[in-house]
Amino acid sequence: MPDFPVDLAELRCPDCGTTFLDFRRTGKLGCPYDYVVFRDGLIPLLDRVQRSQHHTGKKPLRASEVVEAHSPVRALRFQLRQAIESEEYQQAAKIRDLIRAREKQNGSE
Amino acid sequence: MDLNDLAPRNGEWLRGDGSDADIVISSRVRLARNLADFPFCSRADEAQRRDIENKLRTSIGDVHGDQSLIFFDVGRLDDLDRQFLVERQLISRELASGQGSRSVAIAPREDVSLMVNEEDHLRLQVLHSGYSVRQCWETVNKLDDLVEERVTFAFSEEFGYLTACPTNVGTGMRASVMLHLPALSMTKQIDRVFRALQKIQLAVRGLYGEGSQASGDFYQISNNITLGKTEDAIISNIEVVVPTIVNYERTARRSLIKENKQTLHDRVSRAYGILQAAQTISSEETMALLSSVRMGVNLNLIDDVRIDLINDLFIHTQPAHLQKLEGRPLEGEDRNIARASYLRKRLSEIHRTKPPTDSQAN
Ligand SMILES: [Zn+2]
Repeated sequence: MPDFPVDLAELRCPDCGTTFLDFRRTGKLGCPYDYVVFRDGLIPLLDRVQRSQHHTGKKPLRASEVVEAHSPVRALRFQLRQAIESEEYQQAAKIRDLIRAREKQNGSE
Repeated sequence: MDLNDLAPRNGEWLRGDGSDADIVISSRVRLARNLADFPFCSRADEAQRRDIENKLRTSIGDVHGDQSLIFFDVGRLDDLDRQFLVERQLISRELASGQGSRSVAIAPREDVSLMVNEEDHLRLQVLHSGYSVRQCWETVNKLDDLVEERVTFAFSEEFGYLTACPTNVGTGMRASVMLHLPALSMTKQIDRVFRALQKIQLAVRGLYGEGSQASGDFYQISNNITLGKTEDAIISNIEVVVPTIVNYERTARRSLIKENKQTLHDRVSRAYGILQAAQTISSEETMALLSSVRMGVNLNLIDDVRIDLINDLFIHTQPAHLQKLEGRPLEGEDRNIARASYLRKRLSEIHRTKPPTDSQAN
């Protein structure tokens, strides 16, 4: 029996497709947004292994530009991957264009 | 730069300078960072991994100012080269044995290595000889600032730098100091030291991350906790502990000399004798014997060999280094024979080139 509620186990990150159960199996999260999606499950775990729930250290210099953990570009990348896997190539091409447009908009890194 | 050119040198971590260098071998600080717009490595497909690599490669190429970094496509290196980089502490075992696109950028002095597509997108490492963990932090912090000017890292106000594994989240920082503790191991006091360290959330590992029985009596002490403490507090915690352990080790050495000088001298001399005479020898035995000799040299029980040579031998007798220096692949027993012959050669050279000693003058 898992040591966490069933509804938590079935939570799935929309940005990368990882479920909380996947995380518990592998110990690895799928993307930064998982910290938001699985927050309720992660807090007790962080409490146990890190003995803390809050960051107090360094922050990025461009703090104003700090992105929310959810990333539309990442979500598009996930959709792109799914489209390719199911051989929907026209759809994939459309998503690719959207990613490029977004990246340009963000002043691409 | 070719990897083969590195082989004859002994790299940064065993250079043997710095304060307390007889006991504190090296200091290292590593930061884990991830690009905001990509999934973590384990969820990234090959196309995404290549995208991550390209983005990071253009962003980290010139961050190291005076020294330009050298890139290695780790996925394309052969097993021997990967093992070689692990032995030099320039890449992790995980990067060496991983799958898919992954790379490392190394400074020519080998004090900086930036791993791409390990568990996290980017792992920045600064490694210095001797006891300089705070200096490592200052350097890696600056490198991190420079990379951050060009890319957006995944960061949240609540959890800090977001990492693939929650054990690294927050600062993403692992600070460690590698210590040579032969006297504490010999006198079996080491377990007590470890238990005390665990209580203050410090972890102890062997040279290449193995468990309690550390190869060559080299122990790495590092922070367990990355969240809820500032980088400064994490460094300070280590700075409080290291001088104490160094003192324990010195005390243990002094009491061995005082109470069991003959036994200790015998042990050290036998170790030295075997290294000079063996016809076949494993890596494990070599490390154990070199450890005794290293302590013997530091305690002036052996006076005709310099500490640099011993430091050299620790790294040059590792499997991949040995094969590079010999210029041919060596397996199993052949490798042990080559190792013994390499040790005999290096240890006999000191007698041929040695100037007249004080004892001869007397
Ligand atoms: Zn996710």
